[in-house]
Amino acid sequence: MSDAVQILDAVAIVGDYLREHPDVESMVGGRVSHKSPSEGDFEEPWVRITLLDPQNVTGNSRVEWLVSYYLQIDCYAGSENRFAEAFDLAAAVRAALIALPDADLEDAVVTDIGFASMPSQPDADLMPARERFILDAEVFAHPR
Amino acid sequence: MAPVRYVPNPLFEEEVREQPQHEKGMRTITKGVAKAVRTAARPFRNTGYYERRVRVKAQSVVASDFAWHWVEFGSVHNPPYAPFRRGLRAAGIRLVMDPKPPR
Repeated sequence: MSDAVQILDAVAIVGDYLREHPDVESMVGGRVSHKSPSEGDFEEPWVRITLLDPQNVTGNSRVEWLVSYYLQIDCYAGSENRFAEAFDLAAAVRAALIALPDADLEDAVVTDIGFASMPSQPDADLMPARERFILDAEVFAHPR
Repeated sequence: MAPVRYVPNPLFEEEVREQPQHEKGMRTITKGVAKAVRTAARPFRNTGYYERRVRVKAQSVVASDFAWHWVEFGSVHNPPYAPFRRGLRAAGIRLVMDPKPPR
């Protein structure tokens, strides 16, 4: 087997972590995924994670060790469509992620995390436009 | 030599931006960024309309497609294609998150 470093599945790692985090779990249950809920299942709030760009930031000759995973994390309100609900969810996700470098993960070590922005961007694809906060996060991680 | 007191000029950035050298330098950067954004938009190309609407305007790169936010941020029915954010990173522009600790 090749000893090349495998890039991590950052969406799964962050998704598993958020699903198990009590503050996030109490707001969305297990509704943290890389895709939107099924059509018509938009009653409860949810979180969608998309990997925008993984970039090697190792900084030495070691190949693909430390990678910057640039994630978009959508935090949607439920059918009551309350702005505060979307904000509270985004704030809970953000607070949980800040603690990610201290978490004991099975396959990965998260060395740092930063946030580029957290705009309120209601999703006009639902009627009425559904409240949503978009968390732009950069997670630095390497395999364990 | 007498000590010199430094007085920050609040108009410094504005004045620098008006310099022709700055404008020339920025033109090179913004052209590169616009090209990288168009390249990042290519994988989900349909008609090419979005790519054509990515333009350099003064010292900025803008997308004048009316649906730019759907393309950039996605929706419940569409993934975020994020051509601007991907393009910026591909062009080598990084957000440096190194804030000074609070006092």
